[in-house]
Amino acid sequence: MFLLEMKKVAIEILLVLIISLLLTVVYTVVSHEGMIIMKRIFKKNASVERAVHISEVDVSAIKMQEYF
Amino acid sequence: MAAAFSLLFRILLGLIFLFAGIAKISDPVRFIFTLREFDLFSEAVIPFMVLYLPWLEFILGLFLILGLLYRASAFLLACLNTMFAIAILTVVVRGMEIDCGCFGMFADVLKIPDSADIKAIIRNVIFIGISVYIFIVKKTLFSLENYLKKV
Repeated sequence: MFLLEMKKVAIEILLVLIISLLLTVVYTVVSHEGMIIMKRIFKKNASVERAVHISEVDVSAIKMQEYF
Repeated sequence: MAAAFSLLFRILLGLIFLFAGIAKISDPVRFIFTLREFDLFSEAVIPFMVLYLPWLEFILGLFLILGLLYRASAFLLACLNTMFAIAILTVVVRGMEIDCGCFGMFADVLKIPDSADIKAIIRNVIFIGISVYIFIVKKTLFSLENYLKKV
């Protein structure tokens, strides 16, 4: 009984982790900041000019440039 | 009585982590700098943490409020808070004076103390206690999970 309950909780934990991972992926793809961080992860060219359209450069992107 | 307390704690903890998550999602740059200040994580890991942790906090907070997968969320929050407490403890031991970055911009707006010190560790331990309570006491009121089971 206990093992069965723990198994159920473990599956629920996995489900929560997967849902938040999916949201992370969506946010990363949709947002400029997410894309910049993603490019950093995969060691591609992390320049802000390539990641963000020049016309849409905002304060966050400039702060990003300072970091990277 | 235990179910009522569980509901109260769910809402309280849920709101705290929902807002903590939103604060970090809305200002990832600040979160990057905060993590660097901790001097615990490698540069390769920080981007993953900046992307994933805020959404995890957001989802855990939301699920606790809604009462959806709330036991799993409480368990994960206990683990997360243990991790935070250990990270802040290392900062205290090293004698550093930095922000813990727990509430991001909300700390400035609402004047919430946000430094990585003993108070932050105590706060995290209280959060762990509340999470464990929610996990152990299986009964709760007004949960979406219980409602879905009945339907």
